[in-house]
Amino acid sequence: MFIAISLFTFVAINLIGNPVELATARVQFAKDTVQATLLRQYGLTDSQGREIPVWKRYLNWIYDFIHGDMGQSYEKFPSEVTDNLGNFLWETLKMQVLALVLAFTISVVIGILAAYFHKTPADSIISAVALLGLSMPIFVSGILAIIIFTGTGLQWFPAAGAHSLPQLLVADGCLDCARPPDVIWDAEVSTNWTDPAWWSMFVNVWWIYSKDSVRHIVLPVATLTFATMATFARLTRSTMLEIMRQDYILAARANGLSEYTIVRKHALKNVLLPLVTFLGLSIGGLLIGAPITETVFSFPGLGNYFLASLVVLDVPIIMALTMIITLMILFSNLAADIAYTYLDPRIAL
Amino acid sequence: MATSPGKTKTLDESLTDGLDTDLQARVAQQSTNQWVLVGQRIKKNRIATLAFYYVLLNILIAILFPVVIAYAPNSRQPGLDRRFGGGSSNFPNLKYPGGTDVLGLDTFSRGLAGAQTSMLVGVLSTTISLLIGVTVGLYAGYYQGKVEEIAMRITDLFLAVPFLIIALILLSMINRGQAGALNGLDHVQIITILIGIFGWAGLARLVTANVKQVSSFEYIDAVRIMGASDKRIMFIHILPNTLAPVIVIGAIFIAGGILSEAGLAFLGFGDPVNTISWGIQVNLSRTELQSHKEQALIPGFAIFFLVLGVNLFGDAIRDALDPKLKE
Repeated sequence: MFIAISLFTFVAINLIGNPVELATARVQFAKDTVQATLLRQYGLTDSQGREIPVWKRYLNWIYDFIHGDMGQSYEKFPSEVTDNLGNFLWETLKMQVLALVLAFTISVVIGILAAYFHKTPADSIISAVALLGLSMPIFVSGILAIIIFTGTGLQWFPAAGAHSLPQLLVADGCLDCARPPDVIWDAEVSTNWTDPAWWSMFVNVWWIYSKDSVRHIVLPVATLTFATMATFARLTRSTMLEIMRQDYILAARANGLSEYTIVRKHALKNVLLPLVTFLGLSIGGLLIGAPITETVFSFPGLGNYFLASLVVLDVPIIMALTMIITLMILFSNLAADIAYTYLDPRIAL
Repeated sequence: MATSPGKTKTLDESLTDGLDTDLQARVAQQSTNQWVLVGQRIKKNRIATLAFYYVLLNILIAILFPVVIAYAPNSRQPGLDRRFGGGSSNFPNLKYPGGTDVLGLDTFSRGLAGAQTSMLVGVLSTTISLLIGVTVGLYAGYYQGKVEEIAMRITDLFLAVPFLIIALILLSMINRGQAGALNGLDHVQIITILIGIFGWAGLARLVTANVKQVSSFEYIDAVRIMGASDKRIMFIHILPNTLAPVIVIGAIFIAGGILSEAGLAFLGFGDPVNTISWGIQVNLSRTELQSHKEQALIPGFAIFFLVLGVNLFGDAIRDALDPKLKE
């Protein structure tokens, strides 16, 4: 499967575009010797300057990929693809994991509530909200959120980015905030670690930076949660409806168990089963997950970076990202299958 | 006819009548046809009827919009008309009912033309998915064994590859003239084909499972004994019995197709003047969000309501097909 997918990615990208041509066009204004070196470093030509055939490039690429070397970026040369990705990974993961956890918890709760109070106003409201989330394109809800909650409306949250500029934080009264906390830590911790004043300053800066970061992340996470929640909640509701009609729930009722125990102990685990499969799919999409949300909120994450490298056709980055994401999806599906056996003893691997 | 010589015949009497009974039985049989029942149930559901008419309205707009609009969707004329309500980014007025956008294009006509794009992409991509998915599912589920194994591996591959990424790569390659034979196709065509190709895998699995179930029934054996060919069994005896979930999924696919198209258009790859799409309109409005909120909200809510309509209608079909859920 790994081979099939790597082949698919590589062939797709090499079929619809020609990396050699692209790279050559990029370096054509350099001196001949420099050009030759660059092309060699991209892995497109061998030491004699001859073009390496495609199948051999594929083998080289997959060999390097397995060993953690994803090649060099075309756009920001010389820089490793891995370093470039690393810069954006944290922001994306922060947003996506938060959104996914929130969406999952909320939707399981409201899905169960909706099914339990079937055919009451509560059920109708929850179903309607879920349907809204399913039907509203994520960029529309994002733009609505921007219009309502940012500078044009309530002014509660900033509209774009993941952090404020340090200058703005300084202007707000935090004089030490000119450098982000990790820079301060790297530069000064070795000399000042015995000084309590330094520690209080550092904690203060860190606290202000975290607050700022949280303020920036609220809207993207809310938007993503709203969209993701819809599918989860609908799935939970329909599963729960089916389960509440089963005989063992009737048996539990007949035994005189409280309604809470019935839902919590007897129904919940069975509701989670189909959700786990779906969660596996969502986790797979975590890394790329939200190019649209990131565009709406100008969020410096992997999705945005992927779009930016697409605009300049930075082939190594595109290939690396595609491959990583596909692998993530594969592994999370596998993880979901394994989780299945824990949740449902009837299934054996 | 010989019995009661009174006024009108009662139902019981007409049932005793030879010819009438036959006719009535046929009528009764016809009216209990599943699809008639489904239609009746949907008619009873007021929200679903409303949604149906809204989607119908969109289809009408998609077909008839050239009659209504004063300026072609990609005409530069409104942009030059600064003194009389046009220009770049103007508020709605009587001459330009939707205002004009950043590029000086008439938002009203682009809004109406966007309905066409959305409907076309939604319906065509769903047709492609359904054709491939149902065919593969039928063959895999009927022949089983090796055919099924191969088909399932291919669906695995398609389910694992993220659609958005491949679509974005392809679109950006086309923008840069890097896509070889595909360069001639325009944006909407590429998106339609891609959505269609990436949608079939999940459907094929569902159809395979259903076909496997149906083909183990006894009446299939009976038909086979009567000497029907494999093709006849598949398309005449199995296919109609697996169609119900396919129709529900079709509605979901149309909604999904419209959303995907809008999302890809929103990400802004391609030519914003000649490609007409609600997503592109929202994207263009992003720079003007502070002063011209209506530019984002009108096309945004157009997508939203259309998708909502399709989803509601799909839900109604699902409920109507499966009365168990309604209790």
